[in-house]
Amino acid sequence: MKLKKNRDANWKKIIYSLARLASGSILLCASLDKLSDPDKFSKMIENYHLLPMSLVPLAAVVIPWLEFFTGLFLAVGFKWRGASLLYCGLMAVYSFSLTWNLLNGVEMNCGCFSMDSTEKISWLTVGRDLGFLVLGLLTLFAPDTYAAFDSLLDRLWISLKTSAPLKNR
Amino acid sequence: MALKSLKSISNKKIDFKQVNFSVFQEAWNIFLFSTAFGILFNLFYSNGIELKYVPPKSLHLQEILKSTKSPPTSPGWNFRASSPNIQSPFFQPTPAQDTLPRLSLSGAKDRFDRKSSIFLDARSPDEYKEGHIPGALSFYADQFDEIAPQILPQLTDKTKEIIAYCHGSSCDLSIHLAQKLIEQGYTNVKVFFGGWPEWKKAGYPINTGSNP
Repeated sequence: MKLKKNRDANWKKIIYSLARLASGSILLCASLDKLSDPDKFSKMIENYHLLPMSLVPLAAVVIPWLEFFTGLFLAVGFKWRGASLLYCGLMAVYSFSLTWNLLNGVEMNCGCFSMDSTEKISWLTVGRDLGFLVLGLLTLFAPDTYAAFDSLLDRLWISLKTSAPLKNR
Repeated sequence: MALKSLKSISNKKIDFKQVNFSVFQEAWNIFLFSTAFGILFNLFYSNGIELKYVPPKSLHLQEILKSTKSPPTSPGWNFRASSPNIQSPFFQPTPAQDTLPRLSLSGAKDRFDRKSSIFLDARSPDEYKEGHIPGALSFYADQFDEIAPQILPQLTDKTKEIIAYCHGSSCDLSIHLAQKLIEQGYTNVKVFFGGWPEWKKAGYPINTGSNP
C-alpha cells in the first residue's frame, strides 16, 4: 500500500518535472528569433496596438530577454517557481492580446515563435497559448520537481552547514 | 476552470500555499534582471534599436513629388488587377507586405458601424464611382503622388486608424497604399483584404458616384 502511494507520488513528480521542462523549452524557443532582431520584433508589437508607441521599443528589447531567462530558469530548475509565475503572466498577456485582436477582426502574423513565419493569429493560437498557460500553472503549483538546480543548491547548502559529505545525506 | 482541472490531475495534492510572497519576489527579481540585461545588451548589440520611439520618417509632400515620379503608364497596359474580374498572376505577397495588419469582413463592418476609422478606396476613380463603402475616400494607389496633396491634409491625426481596401485578395493596390501611408508616418494603417467584392457580397451598405 505504502509502496503504491510512493510510486504514485513519483509519477506525479515526473509529470510536474516534464511540465517544467516543456514550459521552459517553449519559452526558450520562442525567444531565440526575437533576440536577434529587436527592430522587426518592435514592428510586430506595434501591429498588436496594445502598448503606447513610446513603450514599444523598450518592450521589444526587454520581452525577448524576459522570455529567454524565464525559459532558461524553468528548464534548469533555478528559481523555477518564480519563473513559472512570470511564464504564466506572459502566457496570460499573449492570450489576451491575441483574443483582443481577433475580437476586433484583425488578421495578422502571429510572430509567436518565428517572426518570418506566415502563421496568422487565430482561435487555434489562442487555444495553444491557453494550453501553455495550463502547463505553467501545473508547474507553479507543483509540490516538487526532479532535476531542479534549486534542490542541488539546497542540498549543497545543508551539507555545507552541517559540514557533512554530500553523498551521506 | 483550469485550476479545477489542475486539482483533479494532482489528486488534491497541489498546495496553493506554495505560491507565497517569496515566489512573487523571485519573479520580480527575474524581471528586473532580464530588463537590465536586455537594455545593456541592446546598447552594445550591432542590431540594437533606439529606445526612444522615433515615428517613421515623414517626407514633405513636395519632396515626394520631386523624388518619386511614378513611371508613365500606357493606357490599356496596366499589369495590376484593376477590375474584379482580372486576377493578377504577378502578385505574390512578400514577407514585408505580410506584416501589415489585416482586417476581416466583420472587423471592417464593426469599424464602419462605429465610424471610428477612415476608409480609403485604393481602386481607380472610375471603379470608385461605380460603387464604394460609404464614407470611404477615393485614393487611387497607382497615382499616390498626384492624389496625396488632396487627401493627406484631411488625415491630420496620424494615429487614427486607416483602413485601405481594393479588389480583395487578387489585388495589391491596398497594400501599396498602406505601405506608402506608413512611410508618411501614419502609425495605425490596416488592410481590409476581402475588399470591395467581400463587402458587396455581404450586402452591406454601398454608395455610388464620386462623393464619399
